[in-house]
Amino acid sequence: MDHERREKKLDEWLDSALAEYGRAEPRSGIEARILEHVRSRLARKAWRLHWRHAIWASVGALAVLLFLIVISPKNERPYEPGLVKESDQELLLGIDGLLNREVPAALEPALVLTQEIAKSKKE
Amino acid sequence: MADMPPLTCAGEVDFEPLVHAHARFVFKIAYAVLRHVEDAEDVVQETFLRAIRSGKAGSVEQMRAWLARIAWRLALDRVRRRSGKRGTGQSEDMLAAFPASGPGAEELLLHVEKLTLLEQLLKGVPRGLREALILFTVEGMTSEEVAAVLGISTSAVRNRVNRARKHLKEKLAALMEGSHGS
Repeated sequence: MDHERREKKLDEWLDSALAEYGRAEPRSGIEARILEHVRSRLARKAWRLHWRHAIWASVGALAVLLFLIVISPKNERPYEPGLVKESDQELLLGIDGLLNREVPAALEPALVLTQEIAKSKKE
Repeated sequence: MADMPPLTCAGEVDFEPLVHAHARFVFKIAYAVLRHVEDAEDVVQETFLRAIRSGKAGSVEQMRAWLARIAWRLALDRVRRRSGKRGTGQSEDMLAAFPASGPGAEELLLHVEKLTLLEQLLKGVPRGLREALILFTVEGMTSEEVAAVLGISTSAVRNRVNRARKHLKEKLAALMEGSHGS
């Protein structure tokens, strides 16, 4: 009899404790908080995805640009031996060559003066 | 909120009614495992987020059981992560979770003591039995839903619950005898 009473008491205690254990109420407004959180997380993910696409598109464009630069023909003139500039020829001739060249009449006095100076320096 | 776009997933399921219908139930499952209001709420949020991202919501037949399973796994993961950081049972959270209107301070204290004792006793129950019993205590949870969450048959659920109860009663009886003896 005593054993039965004790068993009943234990069962009652356990039932009530387990019922209280399983009874829980969230703070008010849980649904709104969940929806807000889920929306913000999804929006953040969409934003990250958008940026990822933008970065990959930029990288792709840059790669195409670099490729085009690499394969494009060089803008250099090929070497042509016959094409020597007049100024280059003057350098080749030297000062004596310059002095012996035909000069316009207006520069005749200056040429005479230059020849005299050169002569005096040689002496 | 009115101008917000409807929350839909790949299966074109409007999640807003789902959240309104199941949020409290999912919270109870998470709370049964975590015994912490904020952690439980985090798990509820994560549960719905996972459900949306999975894209399977449109084809799920037992929505409650499906959400319960996600919440259950997430809560267990969280328990594993936080083990060592702090204990699971927190009297402050119990007090916060308990409705403010109702019992007086003394009754509240008795309630907290009762739950603390139950938590201590539950720690000694083998994991498989404890999990079945904890899920079975959740308000509104049927044995079919418990079976769906744990991936076992309903008869196995009933068997585990009975064995867990027996375990608890034995420990409680030993405790009572000890206290009477001393």
